[in-house]
Amino acid sequence: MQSNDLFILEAIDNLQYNQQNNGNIARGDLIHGNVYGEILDGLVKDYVSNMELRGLNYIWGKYDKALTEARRNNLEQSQQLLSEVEAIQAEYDPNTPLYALINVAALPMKAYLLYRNSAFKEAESLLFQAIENDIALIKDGFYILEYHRIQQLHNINRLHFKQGKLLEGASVIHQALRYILYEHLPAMSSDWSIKSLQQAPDSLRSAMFLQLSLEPIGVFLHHILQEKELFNAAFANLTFFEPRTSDEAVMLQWFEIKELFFKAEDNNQFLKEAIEFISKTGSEFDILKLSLIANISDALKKTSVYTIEYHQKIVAFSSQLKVPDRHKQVCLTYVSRVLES
Amino acid sequence: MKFKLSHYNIVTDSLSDEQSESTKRVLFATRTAKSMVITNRLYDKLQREAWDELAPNDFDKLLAIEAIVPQSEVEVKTIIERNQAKIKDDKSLYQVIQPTAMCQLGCGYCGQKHSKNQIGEIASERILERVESKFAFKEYNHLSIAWFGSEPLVGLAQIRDLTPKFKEMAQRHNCTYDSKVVTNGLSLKEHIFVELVKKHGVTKIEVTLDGTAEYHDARRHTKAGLSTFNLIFKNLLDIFNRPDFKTLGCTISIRCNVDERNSMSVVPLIEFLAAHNLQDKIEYFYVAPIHSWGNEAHLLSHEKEEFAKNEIDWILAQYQNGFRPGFLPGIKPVVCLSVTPDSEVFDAFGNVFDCTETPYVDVYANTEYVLGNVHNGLSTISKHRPLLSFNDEVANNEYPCSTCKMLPVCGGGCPKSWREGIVACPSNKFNIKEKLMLFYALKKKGVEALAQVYE
Repeated sequence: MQSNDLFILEAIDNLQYNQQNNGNIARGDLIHGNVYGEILDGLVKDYVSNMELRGLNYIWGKYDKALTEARRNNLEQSQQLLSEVEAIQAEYDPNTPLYALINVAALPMKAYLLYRNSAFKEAESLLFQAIENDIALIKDGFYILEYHRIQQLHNINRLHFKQGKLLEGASVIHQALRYILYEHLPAMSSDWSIKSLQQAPDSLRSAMFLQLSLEPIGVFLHHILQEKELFNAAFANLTFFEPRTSDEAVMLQWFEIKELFFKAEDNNQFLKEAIEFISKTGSEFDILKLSLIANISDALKKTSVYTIEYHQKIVAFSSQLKVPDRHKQVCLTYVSRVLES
Repeated sequence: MKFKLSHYNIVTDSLSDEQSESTKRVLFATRTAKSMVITNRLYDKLQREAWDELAPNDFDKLLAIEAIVPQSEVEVKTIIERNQAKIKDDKSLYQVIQPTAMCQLGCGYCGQKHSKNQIGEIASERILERVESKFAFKEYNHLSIAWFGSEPLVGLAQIRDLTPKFKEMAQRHNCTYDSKVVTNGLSLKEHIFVELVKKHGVTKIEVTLDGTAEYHDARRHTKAGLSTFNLIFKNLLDIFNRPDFKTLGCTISIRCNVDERNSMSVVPLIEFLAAHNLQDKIEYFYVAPIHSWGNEAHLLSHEKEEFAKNEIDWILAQYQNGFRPGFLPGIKPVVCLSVTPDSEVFDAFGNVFDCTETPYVDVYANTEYVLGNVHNGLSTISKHRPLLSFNDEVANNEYPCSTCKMLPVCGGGCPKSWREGIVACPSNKFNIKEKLMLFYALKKKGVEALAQVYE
């Protein structure tokens, strides 16, 4: 046994699950979260009359209900609510800002229902329409909708993933992340407004960054043999930003550790940093830990200290992670295969 | 966008409130089955549709419960379309099986013709095949079997035989499984109950008691005329008094069928059940009017208005005796299995129906209600289900339901009854305002208020 491998044994022996959860990470899409919603509501109130606001809130609420039903896989009931609200929307003049405001909720909702019905091409077209629809509103002062546009990039990414177009999906995520972190304009669509992006609170920007990152990481676990390629397509060169929040600092650290793994230059350094990350980081980042565990098993295999006993310790640690079972299962299956190989 | 007051609102008369000077009303929006206490001033604004005079909070709440709706909406169309969407989205496959044509009881109001026939081996296989075939057309996540009568526990051997096969079928299709039993309770011995729950996935049992012993035995006696109340009640007590009853995961409800001959025994029955401390053990106690079973049994039933009036007394009697029944209806998008395209009823002869009220009843023997027989080959079972179009018929103004404010919470009532010219409205239609007043009293003063009203 090489002496510089001993620290790994010690680190694995001392591995403890950090259950602490700072609760900063929103579940679901941010555009249904409070910060975004509150800002948008405030802007709308200044823009439309009280009576118009009642109608708008009713219609938005109805599109939201239709979305909820679709998410519950109640597609007929979703379609029914959609038909009801479309009939009301048809009473509005399509050439008015009010109509465009209605479409802020309508277009992504309709796209989601199409997505659930596997009409991917039509869904993508509506998501692009949603991105276009926001442009005039942003120019009219609805700066927060810049995040709505980024959300549609995420939705397009989901469409690609669902169709198995992993690299295309990863590339969309990359564009969205580079826009958020470096303010590099996405190649998709036009009229991106850096000024609007900057106007939103850091917390929203940070939360959007996390939303865009964490979900693909779960997907990539199911394609672990392609992981390097997918990682590069989605997350390459994302280690040059200044974290504005503690969550961003965690993400930055994870990107750096993953890059270290894929460079494959210093196995022990990777193991040291990865094991430290998985023991210290809070449970809201468990998906990041799970992703690293797959890499840790690969790296451990290359050391002189790899034994079943340590492998089992890693597996036991993984079982505590608060991540969807499907992600956990696929990761642990991979880890077992590494052991057997 | 313009709004209007929904047609589907029930509003009580003014209710005095000792704690405040303003008089109030309870508004019940049947489209969502949600209620809201409103002041008379707000009621006045609603009547005038003076939307700009409504406080934003009031407006939003009324809109959320659909007491206010878009002006352009054709409400009955929306309700029916929502019901139909709900039916299409339903991912639970519900089948009713009558394992035997036999029942030990000879209830005078029963329209069924009982015989000693049981579902045979071949019929069982065909029924399984028929149910299996439904998975090819829709993705389900749950399989639910109702064991129904005659008296299903006389066919316990068939339940024992079929249950593992249904469970296996459910598992194979990634579905969960449960079942329920509607029984007269005579054979529901404690060990049978445990077997039903632990082995056969039964999660709900409904037992009928038509009043206290004197009244029950006068109508629900054996075919030889022997009393049954004490035997049934002993069975129930043995089960309810098991220390593990609540943890077994099977609820028991009591139904009391009434007509003018036994309605006076409902309150004594409630008191009798309470005297045995069954308030928190009986899942739900309810009173049902005797209906036509292809016969004239319903003619001895109370007039609907009278039944509705009595029902309020029975609810209050339950509160006084420590029961805590809910009494406001919920929305009912699926009125019964007849309006779902995939649910079927199989009797002991292998006949297939789309309604639980038609098997073993002579008057329906050669009608379109018999969809076919599994012995004749599954392909011969008619695709035409006579009651399936009920929702469309309501939408087409073929029944009074089309204009009735209660449609969202009753779903239209029994489709077969309407077809036969029998008004199928439930009691809620006639006592909903009284129930809303009870709701108000309950909300304001708690359960004590209802017990006191009764006193």
